Amino acid sequence: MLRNVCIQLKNGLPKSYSTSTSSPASSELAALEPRKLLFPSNYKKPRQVWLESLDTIDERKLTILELHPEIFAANPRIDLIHQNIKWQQNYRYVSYAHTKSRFEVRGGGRKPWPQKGLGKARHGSIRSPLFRGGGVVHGPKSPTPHFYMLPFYIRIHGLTSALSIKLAQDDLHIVDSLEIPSEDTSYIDELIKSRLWGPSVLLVDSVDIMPRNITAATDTIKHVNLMPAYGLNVYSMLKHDTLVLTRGAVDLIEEKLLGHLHKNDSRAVEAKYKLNQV
Amino acid sequence: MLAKRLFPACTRIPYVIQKIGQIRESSFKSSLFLEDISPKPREYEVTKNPVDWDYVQRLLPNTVVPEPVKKDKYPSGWKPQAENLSELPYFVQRTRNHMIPCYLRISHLKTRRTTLLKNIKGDIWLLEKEIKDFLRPQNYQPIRSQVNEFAGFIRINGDHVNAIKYFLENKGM
Repeated sequence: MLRNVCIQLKNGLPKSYSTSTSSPASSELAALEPRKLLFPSNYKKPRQVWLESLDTIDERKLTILELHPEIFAANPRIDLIHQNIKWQQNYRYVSYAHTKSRFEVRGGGRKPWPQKGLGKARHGSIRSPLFRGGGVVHGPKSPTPHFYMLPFYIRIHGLTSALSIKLAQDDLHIVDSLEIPSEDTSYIDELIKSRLWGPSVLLVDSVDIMPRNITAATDTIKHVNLMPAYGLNVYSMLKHDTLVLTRGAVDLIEEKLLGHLHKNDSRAVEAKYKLNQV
Repeated sequence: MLAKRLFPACTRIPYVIQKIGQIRESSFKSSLFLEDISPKPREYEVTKNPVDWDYVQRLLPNTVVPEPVKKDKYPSGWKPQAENLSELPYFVQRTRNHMIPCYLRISHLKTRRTTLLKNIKGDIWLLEKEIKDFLRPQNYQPIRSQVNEFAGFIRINGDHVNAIKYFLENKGM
């Protein structure tokens, strides 16, 4: 009965989606401006990508954008990506496996048989690890947290490596905004199918308040996810087939990562999670 | 009375309690707090003057390492990287502090000295060959080296830091 009430509540109540903050006309104009790259490279040329639009189901290219080679054409360090993935899996993992030692198992206080005279091996307790039903030596204890902090610049280079790999494998698309004409789920489904974006898509915007239509359309599709730029991480990038960034998200991600790569006091961010410090 | 004669400080306790309000065994929090002796907050007004803001901005610390001011010659002997090196087959990227990423690594109880050159892009094998050709006349022993193309670094046995920096500066890097 409670379940029925829950279902009724779920279907009956209007869903509270987030609302749009900017008008599409102004955002489109801002998206068409050429980008000015900070810290230009002396050696590598900027990477060029198409700026696309989600207005139509079929692919519509607006202009060409230039991306910073230090972020989007970095050395694809799969070792750093592996370290990032393992860290993301492990820092939230708590092992609840538990065993009892010979002193925690019930009983076993009495000497099972006399020391001498029976021709049997000498034993002091039936809960000794040698016995069936005895305690476990150095067994797992619950809870065992696996939290640790990855060094700051391994996290930064993990992000640049993952972004570069996504771009090199043609799995990174840049759109002007996340505005779509309808809040129908079939629209975004067909769009992904016609553009060959693969089943799972991660849409990243610079702000966490997304346009209403895209939130409503992707709400029931579990493999199409929305994420603000501050939540971008290596695990999610690799989990989804295609990464779709808005123009604003590209600007923000590039600015943040370049800021960290050219930071004045990098010791401050590195020392924060250092162990064995006073 | 006996206690007073043995420990004369005991007589001063009531005075200290009056002054601070509470007595502790240690010196922790035994003196007055800074907020008690600081002057009262001053009155101020908020203005939006771009000229004044320039002076404020001058005081704000830099968050990123700034571009060096261009000069013909620097007193420290430091040389900036050349402007356009995109035609070269290989490239060594300067660090964020505009230095050549070439370091001396000492290990094994200070007995092993290796030179590490990092941030190499492009044809790393050609760079290794050219560095070895450059170092060979100055060393009578064969030069052993390790190339890690994946991570983009070269490790050379021995202390060749200044020689490699000289070699790269002459190439414009």
